[in-house]
Amino acid sequence: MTFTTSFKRGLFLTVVSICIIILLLIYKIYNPLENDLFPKCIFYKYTGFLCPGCGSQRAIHCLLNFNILSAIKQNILVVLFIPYLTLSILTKLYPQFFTTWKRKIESPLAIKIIIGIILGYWLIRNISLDNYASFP
Amino acid sequence: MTNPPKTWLTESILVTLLCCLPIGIVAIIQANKVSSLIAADDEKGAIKASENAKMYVIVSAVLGVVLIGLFLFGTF
Repeated sequence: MTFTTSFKRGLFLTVVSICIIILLLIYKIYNPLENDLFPKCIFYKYTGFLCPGCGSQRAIHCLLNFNILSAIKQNILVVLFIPYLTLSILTKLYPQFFTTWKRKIESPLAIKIIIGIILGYWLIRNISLDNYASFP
Repeated sequence: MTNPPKTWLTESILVTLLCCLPIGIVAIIQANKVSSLIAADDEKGAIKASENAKMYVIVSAVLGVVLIGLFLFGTF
């Protein structure tokens, strides 16, 4: 059987969307802190340092339950990057509507700011002694 | 440049945040290189950097999935 490329693209997007919806439901219902099934950060486990992504599962759980303040406390990068990632995925799906945006959001300056934010957050969350660093 | 190569930036950020591995940051730095080379109109260099960025994204994603899989089966 042969399929057209637009059919394959539609099928791919449907499967990905269904998987994302199932994952979002799991993350909304179950709290990663109270459930052993959620994977723990390997980097944290073996080095004792938090990585920039540590707490992203807890942050997603908090966000899905509309608890933005505690999501920021778990991992501010997830909250910060959701609008950015949404915009950049939209520019990839519908490039015809976002011709000016595409250049801007992937410009060298934008990427340098992103690198700065991630590295800065990685450093700060590991040297500060408040409740950021005390999470397992 | 008429047809600039992919920077892999979105994918790099996603693997950095979701795979718990610092390799994602290397991928973002590669994305920066791609973007700078596109801005400098160096098509060959940009394509090469784009392939590098793709490799780092794939390595990070595969390692993340494998390690999470091992975790779920209780090996870790």
